[in-house]
Amino acid sequence: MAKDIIIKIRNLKSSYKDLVIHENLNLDVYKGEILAIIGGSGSGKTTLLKEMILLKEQKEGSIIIDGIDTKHLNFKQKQALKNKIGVMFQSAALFNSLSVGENIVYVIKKRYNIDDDVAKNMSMLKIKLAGLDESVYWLYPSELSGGMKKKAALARALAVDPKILFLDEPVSGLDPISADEFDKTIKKLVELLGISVIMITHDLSSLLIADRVAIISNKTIVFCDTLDKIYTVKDNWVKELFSIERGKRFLNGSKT
Amino acid sequence: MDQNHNFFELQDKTLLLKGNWTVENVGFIKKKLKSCVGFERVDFSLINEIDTFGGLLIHNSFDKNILCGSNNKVESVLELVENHLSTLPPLKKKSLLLRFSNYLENKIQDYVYFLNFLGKSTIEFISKISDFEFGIFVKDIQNMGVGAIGIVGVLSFLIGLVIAYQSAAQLRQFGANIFIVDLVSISIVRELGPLIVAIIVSGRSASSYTASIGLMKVQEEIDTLDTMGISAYTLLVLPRILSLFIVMPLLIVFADIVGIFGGMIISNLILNVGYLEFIDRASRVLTIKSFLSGIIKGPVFGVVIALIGTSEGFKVEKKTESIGFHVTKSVVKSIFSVIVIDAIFSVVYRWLKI
Repeated sequence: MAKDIIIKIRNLKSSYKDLVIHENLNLDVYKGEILAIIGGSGSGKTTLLKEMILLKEQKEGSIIIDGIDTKHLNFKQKQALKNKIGVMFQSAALFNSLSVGENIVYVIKKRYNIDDDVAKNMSMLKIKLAGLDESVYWLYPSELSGGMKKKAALARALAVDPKILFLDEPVSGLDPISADEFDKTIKKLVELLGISVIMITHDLSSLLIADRVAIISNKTIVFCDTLDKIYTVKDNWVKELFSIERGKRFLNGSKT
Repeated sequence: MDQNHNFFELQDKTLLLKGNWTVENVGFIKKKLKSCVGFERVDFSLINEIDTFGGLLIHNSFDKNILCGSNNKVESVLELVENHLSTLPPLKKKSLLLRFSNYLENKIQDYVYFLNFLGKSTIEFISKISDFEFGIFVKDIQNMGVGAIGIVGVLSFLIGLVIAYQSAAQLRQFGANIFIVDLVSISIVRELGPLIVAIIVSGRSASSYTASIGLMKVQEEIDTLDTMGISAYTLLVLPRILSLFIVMPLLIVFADIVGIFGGMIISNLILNVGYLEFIDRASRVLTIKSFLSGIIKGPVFGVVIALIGTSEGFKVEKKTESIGFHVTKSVVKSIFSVIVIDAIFSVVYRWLKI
């Protein structure tokens, strides 16, 4: 059965001045899947993310999100597209001057004309969905632990029911228990809300919740398939990854 | 979309919900629903798209018992909303008395902290003087002294100009043109020169000290120095105190000269006091006493500004807004302190008959 494609990237080329980051990069993201993107440091994962969330414009090629080409959009079209995506940055990036609840209410009210009490109710709902207790509503980001901050950022990313959720290193800096809990929350959200998740990660265990894994190496996507086919990749970086102790342990663990 | 909205219609006392009950439409649907009465059942089978906003609207608008229909999507969203809905916890507001006592407590803690900082840094200056870096000291003189010459020059020139300009009209009425020299030179040398320099340095240097030390604190550089046994106070505070101690009197001399020059130009233009005449009288009016009484404020201001700037930097916490908060505080505090100290100087001079 052909799956619906929500993001389609074709022949992407991007660069910072003379430094070419991506060349001839192709990627499809299906509706309702969790796609993990891995790659070495400096391989251009974050650049790819920035291009997908309209923070950076690509040099050549096309990025089509939900049927809309991201190039040459006017302000209104861009805003409409931005309403469809939710982003959680690596550092959580909560607004420090607002409480967790206000962070979410602010996002809802800025985007749509919605009553105060509905926005507040929604904010509580999203806080609960992200696996936090309602008591965090009035807490400020500085009063939260690392794991709670990430969950609060997730709740904010979900504020207006995005179709696509982008997560940049969602579990970096979390202890293994919190990281595992976070992974489960994401999995649950995909099932409940039917959203598509694109997750950039360094954490090999996070790959286990992904439906497919994409690997960036040599300026392009060298692999994009289910985890069990990862042995077939010929790329040097991938070979090295699974020849080192961590990689071996992960592969042995994921097989059992 | 107003008349022919496609979100619900009434059929035989059954309200048929349809269309996209999503976030962009819920505001409109909610408004329209208010005018809709006389239904006994609500059927959601025809809903095309629904998200949590639509689910919440259905949950809030209709009684659960009158909902019917079969639509997996709607049912799962409604279940999700029901399971995750909770009431907003009340915001605990502090009483006025509590807030006032907190304020007082903070103020007292502020002074205690400053005294603590003074004591700690003095001890470390003495016990760990080997950590002193001459390079930082020289660089700070360059940044805070030489770097400030431009703005100090322009502002004192303008202040000298303005004072002469404002007094000219008054003095001319009494034919006391020549006294413009006394007025401009004494007021600038004794009061305005030191004060302008101190305020400019408060804005430039205190804020920069707080920000740079604060960022080091946030990035755990101060802790790193501490674990290596290097005194952050001797390394970061002492060079800055010394540099302002040296730079401030020099800047004041510069400000005095430029300020008087500004006054001289206006005196010549408006009151016809010749340049030579002005210089001749100024050299007789300005005693070494009044000159020194201005200069001597410099080192005191410098030390106070450096202490406030650096101590606020050490107070920065690991929050992004903390640096901004303490930079503001350090500038306000140092300007306030400089003016208070200037007032004390005036009283002391009066008392010593200088």
